[in-house]
Formats: sequence, C-alpha cells, structure tokens
Amino acid sequence: MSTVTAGTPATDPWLAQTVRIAGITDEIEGVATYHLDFADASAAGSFSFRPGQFNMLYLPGVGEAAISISSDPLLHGTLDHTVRIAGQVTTELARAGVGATFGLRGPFGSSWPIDECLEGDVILVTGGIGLAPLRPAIYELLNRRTEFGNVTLLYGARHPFGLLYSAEYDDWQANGVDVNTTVDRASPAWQGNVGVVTQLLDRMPVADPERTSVLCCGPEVMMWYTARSALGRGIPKERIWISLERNMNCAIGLCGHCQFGPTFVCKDGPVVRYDRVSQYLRVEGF
Amino acid sequence: MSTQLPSECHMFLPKSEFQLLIDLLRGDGFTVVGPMIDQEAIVYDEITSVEELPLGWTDRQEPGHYRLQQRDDDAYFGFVVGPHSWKKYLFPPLTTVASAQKTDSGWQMRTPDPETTKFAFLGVRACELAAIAVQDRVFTGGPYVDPIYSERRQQAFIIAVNCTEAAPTCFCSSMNTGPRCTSGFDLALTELEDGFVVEAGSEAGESLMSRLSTQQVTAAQLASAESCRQQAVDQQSRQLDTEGIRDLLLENLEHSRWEEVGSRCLGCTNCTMVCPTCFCCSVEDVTDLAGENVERNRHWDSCFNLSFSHMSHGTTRNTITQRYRQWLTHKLASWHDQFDTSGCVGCGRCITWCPVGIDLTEEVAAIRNDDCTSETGGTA
Amino acid sequence: MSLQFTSQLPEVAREALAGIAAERTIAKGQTLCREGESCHELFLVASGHVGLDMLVPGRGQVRVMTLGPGEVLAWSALVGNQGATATGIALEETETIVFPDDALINLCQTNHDVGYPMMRELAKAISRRLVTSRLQLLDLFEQESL
Repeated sequence: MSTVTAGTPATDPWLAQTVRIAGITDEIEGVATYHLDFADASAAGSFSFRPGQFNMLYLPGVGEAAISISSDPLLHGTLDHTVRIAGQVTTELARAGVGATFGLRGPFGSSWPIDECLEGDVILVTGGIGLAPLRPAIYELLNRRTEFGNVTLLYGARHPFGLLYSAEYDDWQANGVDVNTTVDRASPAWQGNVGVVTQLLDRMPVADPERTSVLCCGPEVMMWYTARSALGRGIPKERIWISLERNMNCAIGLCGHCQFGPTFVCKDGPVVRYDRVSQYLRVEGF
Repeated sequence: MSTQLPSECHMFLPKSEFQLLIDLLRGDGFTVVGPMIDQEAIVYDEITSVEELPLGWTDRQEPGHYRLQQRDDDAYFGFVVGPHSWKKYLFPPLTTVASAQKTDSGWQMRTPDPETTKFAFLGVRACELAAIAVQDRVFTGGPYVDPIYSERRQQAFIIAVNCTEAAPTCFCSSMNTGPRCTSGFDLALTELEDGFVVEAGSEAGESLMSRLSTQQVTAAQLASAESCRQQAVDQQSRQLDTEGIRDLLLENLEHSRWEEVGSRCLGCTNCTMVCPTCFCCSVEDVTDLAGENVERNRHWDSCFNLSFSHMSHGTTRNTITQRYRQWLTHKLASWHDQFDTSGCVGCGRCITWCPVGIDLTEEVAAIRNDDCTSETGGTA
Repeated sequence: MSLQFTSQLPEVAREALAGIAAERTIAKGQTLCREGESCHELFLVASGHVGLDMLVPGRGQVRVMTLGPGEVLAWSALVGNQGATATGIALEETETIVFPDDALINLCQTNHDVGYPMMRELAKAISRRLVTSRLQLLDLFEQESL
C-alpha cells in the first residue's frame, strides 16, 4: 500500500467515502456532535487529519457542507463533527439517526500551527461554535502539554447555555489548559464572566508576548478585534492565526467559491496567518 | 517577442490538401473540433469537413457588439474569436464528477471512469493557447488535480492558427500572449491565399505533418506569412497597462470607480461565460425519482451570481459592485498570487459580449488615473 | 504586577498618583459603587473581579459586564457625571487601588504632567470599554441561537 500524507485525502478528491453515524451527542440548542465511523476499514486506516482541518459531509440528493473536524487527531476510527443546523445539508443531517450512512470527503485545508507554538505560551480565543475547530488543537496541546508554556482558552458565547463542550472544561483545566469563559448576556444564575471575549484578552497577563501565539476562531468581527487586542499586548502579527469561513463547494481549490482575495479558504485556509489577510478583513463585501 | 523557429520546421500545405488533416486526425481516433457558424456567430463544434469552416466570413467586434460579415476573399480563418472558447471541451459546462447509489449497506459513492474522447482542436489562437496554459495551472497545478480536465487535456491535439487580423477588442500584445503562436501547440498554421504555412510544435505534430501532403515552403511564402501575422500586431489598438496591476487593484478596493462600473454592470455573467480562463463552477446533486441514484453534476458558475458567495448565515458579496470588483481583482490581481500568472489573456471576449459594453481595460485605466494610494501612500 | 492602565503612565505620573492612592481589599459581595449614587473614589482593579450590574425593573439586577485586573470603575465622579451608572460588586476578594476624587482632580488640574497622561489613560480605558460594549451590542452569536 502506498503511504498517505497526513492531512490530505487518500483517494480521488471527488470521491466520498461512506461513513455511518455511530452516535450523536446533543451539545447546545441546535447543535449536535456526530460521531462518524468509516464503512470501509481501509478508509478509516488511511484517514488522518491535523487540528483545524475540515471534511465535506455529503448527503446524497441534498449536497455537501464543509464541517470542521472536532475530535482528537490521535484517536483513529471515529471522527467527530459538531454541526449547527443552518442550511439544507445540516438540516437534513439533523434528521438522520444513528446508523444512517452518507458521504465524507477530506480532510481538507490548512491546520493550526501547533508546531510553531512550541515552548511559548498559547492563547486560544474563540466564540460560539468556533470552539469546534479549535477542540482538536486543545486535544493536541493536551497530548503534548510539556512542549508548550501556558495554554489559555478564552471562550465567549451569547449566553450561558450557548457554551459548547462545557462538560470537558474541568478536565481541560485539570490537565493544564486555563479555561476562561464569558457570555454576552448573563442569566440570573450565571456566576461567571460577562462581556465579550476580547475583554478577557485585554486583561490577561501576557508575560512574554514575543513568544506568545494566538489561535482564534469566531465571527470575523470578533477575530479582527481579537487581533487588535493581541497586537496591543505586543504579540507579533506573525503569531496571530485565524480560521476563515466562506462558501465551500469543491474544497480543493477548483471551483472559486471560497476566495478571499488571493486566498482560497479551502486549500490555503481555513487557518491563515492574520497578517496575510488583515488588509481585506474590513473591506465590505470582498 | 516571438521565438523564431528555423525555417526547415515550416512546410506549405496547399488548401487542396487541407481536408486530409481532418481525415488523418479522425482516422487516429480524434474528435475534431473547429470553428463554424451557428446562430450568427462563429462557434466551436465538431467538424468532419473543411466545408464546415466559416469560409469567407469575418467577425466585426466592438464593446457590446458582434456581427458576422462576408469577406471579399476565401479565408478559412479570417475572423478573430467568438463567444466560445476551448474550455468548453477541456472543462465541460456540465459534467458528472461523482455519483451515489443507495444499497442495502448504505450509500456508495463512485467517480466516473476516465474519459475516452480524444479531441483535436483546429483553429486555436495565440490568446487561446495562453488561456489553456492558464487553465492548466488552475486545474493541474496542484495540490489537487481535476481528473476530468487532466484526462481531456493530456489527450488533446492542438492545431493553432496565427491571427492575421485583430479586432478592436483585442489586446493580446499588452498581455504578452500573442498574436503569434509560439508554444503550446502540436501544429500551427498561418493562412495564405492558397494554403497554409505549417510548423510543428511537438513530436506528435511533426509526426502528423509528415503524413500530410505538404510542400517545401518558399521564402516568398514565409515572408508573406510574416507580413500577414504582422498585420494582426499592427491592427491592435486596445491596450491594458499591466505594470504593477496586482497592487494597483488590491490597494484600491474602496475606489469610487467600483461603484461607477457596478451601476452599469447588469450582473449577467456573460463575461465569465465567454472568458477562456474563468473556472468558477458549482457541483449540485441530481437525483432520480426514487432518490436512490444520485449524480453529482458540475456546471459552470459565475462570481456574478448572488448565490455564489452564499453562506448559511449570509451572503458575502451582496451587490453587483462587489461582484464586479471580485471578478476583476481576481482576474487581474489575485490570480498572480494564486497561479503566478494573470488570469487575462487579452482576447477581448468580455468586452465584446458585455451587453452594456463594459471594457476592463477602461476600468483599470480609470483606477490607475485616480490611484487613491499613490497620493496618500496607504489604503483607506 | 503590570496593569494595562498604569503601565503606559510615565514614571513621574505614577509616583505622583501613588502619593494619593491607597490599596484596598474588597471582600466578596461588597459593593464598590452603587448605581445612581455619588461615588467619590475611582477604582483600579489589581486582582479579582467586579461585576457591573444595572437594575432593570421586572428583571432585577442584570449583570452587564465583569471587570478584571487593569480595568477601572466609578469614573463618573471624576468626569463630572452625576453618579454611578452601574453597581460594582466584588465577585471574589478583590484587590483595588483607590483614588479619592477630590485629590485626583486636584492633582490632575495642578500638575498637567500627571493630569494629561492620567486622563489619556482614562480615555483609553473608556474607549476600550466602549468597543467591548459595542461588540456586545453587535450580538455576534445571535445567528447561532435558535
């Protein structure tokens, strides 16, 4: 058998593999995590991904949706995709039960620059469902915890019941990720932080900004202000990474849909260095 | 500019022997595609005989204007370029990229078997050779290779034809893509009154040329071919100043000219359909009535379509202004970052086929003449 | 400990301000300022967290923001407003640096080498607060909620 490079599809990029829903975890309202198994054991064996990459989930007769992989890259076999009901494909997916089959192409795209964070501090800044593409990065940082300095997660949601994966925070905290959550709108029972996530970055201590990396995923406005805050704290622009979202159709850089200036978000992204796209982030409709 | 090929590579093919070229190609299993008149335009379609070529016809082109006109000679290739380009064969407007069947053990996906159709393109102009080279980079430059384009491209036999006239919409000289065919062909023809000066550009071309009933080319014929080709150079009036064009456009994304051109643009997608390098497409599912057999069909799409940048929580490019800006900045600027070449080959099709005659060379010049970065030194 | 608010101040200003400031530990649950009431001190949070609450009839006290290290509160008195616009309540034991408003105003008015940088840092703090409030207002995760 030929060896397969980690993080690229093992076959014809147009060919979807059959996957089966092994389990479904309801996360927050309108969001569920689908645990997928490959029908073909050899496809499972040859599949490996890097944190931040995505798959095209294909529901025959409906279409495809680009969904980031949210499981631990070291765990082979089952792949997790945390999906928010938004369009036709995800609406149809929400109707599918355990045992249903559909197609999967991937993995595609760039990944979080974990190896460029070595020995420095890492700050993950995210909001809402943006935590899903960062969860594999959290797992990898935990798997290799001794290779990094302080690891801090700053996570914001609209309201307390919009916080994803909340059952895992204690485990992350216990294993060396400083988990900080905040909500835009507090409920009376909420004892945690209120305010936007950039405020957490504004006030957290940054001991060695030159060696601190920021990995950010969320709405573009949030990422823009996160970068602004990070730059204000002396973190170099080369160490700020964001994950972009655009219409994805082919996922292989051949259909043109996902362009963001010179960047094909599907193959040059979704994870890009902030300074490589910053000039376009505030151009309306670009 | 043009690479001078040694004259021994050139032969003379009398028009009386022209049909043999098509016959030989067909005998070798090629589907020969060439220019022909259909619905008052010169288009590309399958041909079996030189009789089907637009003998004695030419095209008159202006921004937003295209008309056929009878020539006063019997030239086979006495026109420039029409609404079609060869991308319709290499990158078909509609094709199946994959399929899915519902089985007892769930959905099974397949991709189609390799293509078996071999195309021979007769009448490929220099700008079109450049366009094919551009699409080669797009579809086969990696990291992913499009299997459909790749199959068709590898099997294609290309017979170029040097332009002997230029339309007012042509600006290939500006783009360094023509009018002389210098590479990327198997055979290249320059049409004279009674025949063609033929040159081979590949081993396959040489081999085919050796089977044609050619004659030794005379110095007079070579000189005549050269002067015909020079006419296409001399007739070009349109220009696009490409100096620093990438930065010019990407640093002027908020220029008022975008609104101005956006108010004229109809968003009809014509420019992207006729463009020989535009590659935007969409894949959509087509299913049988039972919902158990599904084809994934890829069709040409356009960045001018509103749905093109649609996401579940909103559309990125909501206005025609934003979509025109996307098209032009991609074509002339970010294409350089992506594929290390311009996306424009200077064929002028987008100018001719724009219903309101928008001329990209004029749009770039307007931005250049009022470059808002040159004075302030920074973007807004 | 380096706080964003004071780290930008010139040494001379920091020394002069230290002369009028006091450190104060606020116990969990204790109020620093109360909405609608005059407050005669400006607080800079050194550690811990302070909730900013506003009273909304029918909803009670609504937490609109949480402040942490490096952030200031109760600037109303200093900038001449009529009273605090929110209630500040310590969410845990919180270390603060406290500036009495009359001494601070006096210092800023008489010594512009202190007054200008101080007001500039305060303006930056207010600007940051305004940006975060706007981002909150944008309700960026609204589409994610059903």
